[in-house]
Amino acid sequence: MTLFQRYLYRNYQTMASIRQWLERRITPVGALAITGLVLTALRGADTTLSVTYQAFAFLAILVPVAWVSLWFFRGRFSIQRHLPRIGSAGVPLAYQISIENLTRRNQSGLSMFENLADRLPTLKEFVENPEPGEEKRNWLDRRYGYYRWQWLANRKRPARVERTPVPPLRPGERLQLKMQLLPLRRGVLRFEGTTIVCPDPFGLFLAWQQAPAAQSVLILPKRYPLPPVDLPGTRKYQPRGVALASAVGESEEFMSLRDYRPGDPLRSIHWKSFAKLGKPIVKEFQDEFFVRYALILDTFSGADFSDRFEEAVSVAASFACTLLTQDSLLDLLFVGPQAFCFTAGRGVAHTEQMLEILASVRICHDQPFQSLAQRVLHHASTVSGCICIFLAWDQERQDFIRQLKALDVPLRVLVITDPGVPLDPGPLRDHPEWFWPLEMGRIAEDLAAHGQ
Amino acid sequence: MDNTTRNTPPLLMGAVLVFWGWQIGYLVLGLSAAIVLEGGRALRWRWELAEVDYRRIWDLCVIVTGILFLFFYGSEDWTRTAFTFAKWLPLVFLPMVMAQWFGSRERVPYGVYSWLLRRQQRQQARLGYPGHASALIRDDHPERGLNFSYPYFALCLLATASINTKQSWFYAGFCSLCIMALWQVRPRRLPVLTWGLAVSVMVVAGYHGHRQLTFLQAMAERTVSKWITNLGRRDPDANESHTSMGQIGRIKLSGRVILRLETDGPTAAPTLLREASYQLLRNTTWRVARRDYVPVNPDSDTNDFWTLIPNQPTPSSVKIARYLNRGNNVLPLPAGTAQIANMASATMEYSPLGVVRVDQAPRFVNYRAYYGPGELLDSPPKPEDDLQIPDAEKAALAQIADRLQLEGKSPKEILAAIRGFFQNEFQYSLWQKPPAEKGNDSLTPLGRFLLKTRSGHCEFFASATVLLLRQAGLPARYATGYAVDERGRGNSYVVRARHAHAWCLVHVNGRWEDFDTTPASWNNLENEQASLFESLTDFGSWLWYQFNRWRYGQSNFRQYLPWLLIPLALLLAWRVIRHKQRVQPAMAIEASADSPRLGIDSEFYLMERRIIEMGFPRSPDEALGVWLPRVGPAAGLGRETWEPLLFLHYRYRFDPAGIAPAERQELQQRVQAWLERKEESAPSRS
Repeated sequence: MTLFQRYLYRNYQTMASIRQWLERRITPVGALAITGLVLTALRGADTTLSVTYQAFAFLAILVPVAWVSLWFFRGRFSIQRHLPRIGSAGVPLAYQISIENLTRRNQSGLSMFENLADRLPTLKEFVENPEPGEEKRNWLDRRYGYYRWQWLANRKRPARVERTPVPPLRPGERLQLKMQLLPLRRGVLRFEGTTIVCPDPFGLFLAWQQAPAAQSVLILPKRYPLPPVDLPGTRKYQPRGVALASAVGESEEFMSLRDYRPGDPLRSIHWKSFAKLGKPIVKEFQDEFFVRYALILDTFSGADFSDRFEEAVSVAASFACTLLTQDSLLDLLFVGPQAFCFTAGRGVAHTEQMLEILASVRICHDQPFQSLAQRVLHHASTVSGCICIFLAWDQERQDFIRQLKALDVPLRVLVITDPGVPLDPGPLRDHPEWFWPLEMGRIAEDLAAHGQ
Repeated sequence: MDNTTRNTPPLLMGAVLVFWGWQIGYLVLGLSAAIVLEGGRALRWRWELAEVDYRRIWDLCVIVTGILFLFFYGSEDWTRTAFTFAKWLPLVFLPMVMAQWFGSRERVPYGVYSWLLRRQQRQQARLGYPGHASALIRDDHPERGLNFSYPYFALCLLATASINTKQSWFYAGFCSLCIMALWQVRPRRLPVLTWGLAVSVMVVAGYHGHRQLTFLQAMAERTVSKWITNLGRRDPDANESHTSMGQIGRIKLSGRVILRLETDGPTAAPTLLREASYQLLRNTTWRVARRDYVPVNPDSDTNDFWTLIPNQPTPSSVKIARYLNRGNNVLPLPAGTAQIANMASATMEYSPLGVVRVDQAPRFVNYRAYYGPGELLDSPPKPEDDLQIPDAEKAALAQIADRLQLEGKSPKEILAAIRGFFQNEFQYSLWQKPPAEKGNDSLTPLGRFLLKTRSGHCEFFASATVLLLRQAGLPARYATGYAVDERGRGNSYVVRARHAHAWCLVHVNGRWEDFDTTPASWNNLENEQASLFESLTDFGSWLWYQFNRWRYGQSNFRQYLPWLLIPLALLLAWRVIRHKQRVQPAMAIEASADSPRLGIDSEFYLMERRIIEMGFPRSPDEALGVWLPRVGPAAGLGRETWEPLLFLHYRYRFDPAGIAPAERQELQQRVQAWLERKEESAPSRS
């Protein structure tokens, strides 16, 4: 970490803070007024050349007066947020917030927005995580790392927040407001508090009141619609059994209705409930065969922020949803700080719990791929089939697949690849239908294509 | 087209355009633009413009702005024409605001306005950033972008502010329009009365404020204008010249091109261009005795032709191009200059010492000096000024004069003796050594040059010559300017900063003559100082010179600029309208009804109608390929009959390439044959 990098980081951080401050303090009309003031000041310096100085005189009074009037905003508010337990990346998160006017005067013309934590990259992240394709940028861009900063800031941005208007509040009145934000990333979304803003009488600037309300919500990974996965696995003897197995046999049994989750097949939508509730509801069926799949997630990537890894997590989440809906047992295996195996299905645990784990899974830096391979091979005798989601298709991973094949485990190998880079199935040449290369940026299309 | 998409309250945009047109003196123009925009609110259709169309329109506006800028920047007084330039900007950006108003988008994406953003987007695409179908949710807000209406409103107001009028209408109109705009965005928490009162107070305060501004400027101008205009001045001072005599070390002058000369035909350029001459030496500084200047009136016909000496024959002329500073500038001129042409300055004056200076001239001039042998601007010699010798130099000069035995010689002999003395016993040098004896050296720099070092640069030679001539009784003056030595292409010459020169004026035979005793090798020595990169800097200097020639109207290119607008406008109109369609549902249906539908005359429809008549209806959403297998067996229509016909029909109906005439004939014949068979079998069935 060089001094220059520290210097750059401080600069970008300061600039981002100033930009945010300006965006939150100055309205578009205010920005126009200030631009007008500066331009008229420059062009109107000589009063003999034009009447620009007259425009300057008016703006030079309007802008400071509008700014000074912000000091007279007296507002105190109490905020209480009612958040759902989980949300999903890319799906608007709706929740309620109650706001109370703690002053003795009417408050009107207010609006509010959420303050989110973890918005900017840290110095370590800035230094250690090059932007994908940075080597293709010119020397100046690489040296100054502006695009790297921009990319990281975008990656770190937790959610899109909009300003929500607040209805007029009488003294002491408490109101419930519907809020909505769009989570952009999986993981924990942390709220620091809420800012209540009030424009000046001319609508140029905004006065602030911060109301602290620290809370968090877990954002699940984005899921893709998956085609039916028909793993030719056989039912396996499960030594410890499964609690709450409700029935036996081959019949398809209706189990329950639940909210629609991205990735659910359209045919499962219960249209009557949809019409009644105004939101999609799906039917859940319980297939009474008893198979156990292993979902193996490759977490071995060099950088902290890997687009491939995010895609892999999304694909894993999509499988978790689909396979558990099909009522099988699913073991999620990955290596984080240590090797994990989490089993869900048939009442042992629910999809949400598996998705919660996937929401928080991180890249593993300190262990080799072999640690995952050994764990899976040890586990292979109990599973009917394996779904492997890989970030690369190197010799190590191909050897691992060879070993699994030798154990006669049916496989689906999904490899996240760069666009336009064809992959050789290697050990799966004799089973090309088991090998699913998924191109970055075309994951959904590729998944659908492999399902056909 | 509802008002919310306009994002400006009704009539605001119209009002500002009318105000703009009225104030700049083109009311009809402003009114027309206002009618087009405000009248557009009543229309129900919009142009279906893609982002690329907005880009093209924006690019056109920016290019036209650039051309307009170059056009006005090329004028002589940019300070004033900048306002004329700004005045026309609303007209230039009118296409963009019209695209916003009549286009289908409420906000135009930011990338349209910024080439940098576009480049960034292209780069991101090149680097393979994930698209929408990705685990990384891109924060692409559908409404992100800029509605150009309010910025355009502000642009119109600023453009109107570029006028120069003494009436108060501008202030009244400006405030009214601002209040109209602010009214829309005001928060409703403040009572209307209070808001109105606050705005009124600001309007009154602004009115008094701008009147005070005028007063303040007048006051400021009185106190600091002189100081400001002289800031950064680098022109020679016509009243005194500080020499480098006495400085130790190397005298270094740059190779920057100062003047460019062009002569008429093959005649040689004057060897010396004088800027100033001085009479009195104090220590190492030459000064003038009096600072009188005589104003020159321009010729009555043209304002850029000046006659310094009337009725003087001027067989030679030279064009001199140079850059000027603000304020007064001294012109380098050949000896005997009687007239100056193509000098668009406000004033011109000359001093009795032959200094010609101009005021309020353009920053770049390319004037022509007419000169010839004859009368000079220089006043006759005055013994008290032009024969004065500083006391400190008298001893050394007397010693040299004695050695040369100047006393009693004719002026011609004196000149020859002094020239010979300097040519034979002195050498040119840019390097001055420190005095050998430290502490007790009482000699002046000039005395040391004459008696000891015998080596120095042109200021030493010129100063020593002036004083020696005076010692011999000949009136002499110290002159500064440039030596013209470096020939360029054709009849052109280049004068660099290192060609700055000093020489002497001596009054012999009743007139002042140039007398230069600096050894001829000086120019070679100076040229040896040239930088390795001089050719490169010369090229840059030449480009800048050509640009300034154009900018200050010394070339013909400027007058062709406006014509560039026509092909540009035509190109844009063609590119935008080429494959545009208006979203106008009712009319679109009518139009489609009129247009021919391919394959609508297919004979297969006769077959279809016949089958329906036979009692096998086809539901509206049922494709032929579904209907025929369903009803075929019951209707006595085998697959082998209908399938080839249906295939031909589909191709005839939907294949853009159509079917061959032979195939069409086959379709007709086979359908006809089937229909005939049905006709024949119908009576028997009944």
